[in-house]
Amino acid sequence: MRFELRLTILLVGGLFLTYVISLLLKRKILERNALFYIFTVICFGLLTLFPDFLDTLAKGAGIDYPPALLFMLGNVILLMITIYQSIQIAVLEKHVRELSEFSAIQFHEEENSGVLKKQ
Amino acid sequence: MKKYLLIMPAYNEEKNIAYVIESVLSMSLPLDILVINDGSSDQTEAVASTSGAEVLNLHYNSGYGSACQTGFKYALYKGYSYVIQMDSDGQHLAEDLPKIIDELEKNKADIVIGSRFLSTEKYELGALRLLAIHLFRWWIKLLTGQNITDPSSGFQGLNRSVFGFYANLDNYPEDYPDADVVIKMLLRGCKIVEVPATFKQRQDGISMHAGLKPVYYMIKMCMSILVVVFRQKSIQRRARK
Repeated sequence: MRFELRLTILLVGGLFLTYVISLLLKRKILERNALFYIFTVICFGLLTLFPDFLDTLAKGAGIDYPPALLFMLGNVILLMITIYQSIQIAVLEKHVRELSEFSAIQFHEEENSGVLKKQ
Repeated sequence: MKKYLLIMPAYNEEKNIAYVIESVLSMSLPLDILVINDGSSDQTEAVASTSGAEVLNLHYNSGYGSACQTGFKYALYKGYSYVIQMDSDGQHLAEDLPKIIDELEKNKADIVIGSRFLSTEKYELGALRLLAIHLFRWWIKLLTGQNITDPSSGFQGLNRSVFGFYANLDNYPEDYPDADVVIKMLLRGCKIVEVPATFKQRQDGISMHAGLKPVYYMIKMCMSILVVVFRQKSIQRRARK
């Protein structure tokens, strides 16, 4: 792996890590999600710092160009994140739907009993 | 409180809903009317309320299935014995309600479907929708051995065990319940009966099945049917263990 490529990956990883930590500090991301991103960046950093290990892994996987393995791993992780987010959206949608249905009935009952005034 | 609750999901139906409610009220049937206003941006709520129906307001447009499910929850909470679903766009006729009530009470059906294909009056359907309905009929026959002519009909009567089951979040889709729900209930051993019902073209506005939506709908429904079958098989397998 060329030095420039290693430097670029490390730089992008460092920026990404800084961004994730700043989001965490501003409470715009949950710890459990942040952990996953931090772990991924560390893994990528280690693979870039110790390219021999990446070379061995690539050879074992039958990949001639080791950085291609790095990008493939990146894509797999992105896919996993997308699926995780889809699951999260489905769960949240379910909760919102349940709350909306319940609150519609609750509002109606409270309006009818005079607790709330009809708008 | 009466024995039946007629639920009408409504989204921007200010031009149709008054006529539908008035036609139901003119029948003097033992039912209360509940309109579930599915986040309409027009005067649906005011018009329905003035026409003599109870109105439940969902805070946002959450889909036909979710609106129906709110009605089921309300019926369960209030202790109704039966629920009848009817569209608020004027497609379903109040004159057909007694047939549904009869089947629910006398023949002890769990679900009564008002079928436009058993009626002597013809109902014009687009080629894609007709193709979808034929495909769904075939699926039902193949998977359950039963003939249901109009699985897409939203004109249905349900007994308490059925709407109690539907009131559970995971048991009813948020968008369009169709052949998938029919198959699920048949596999659960429900008695489903069809009665002839005359459907009219909607009085005003655009149908939720307009344009190319039937294509997407057909593909999505085929997937939902497969999911229902696999889930049911897995439930049966677990029950056997």
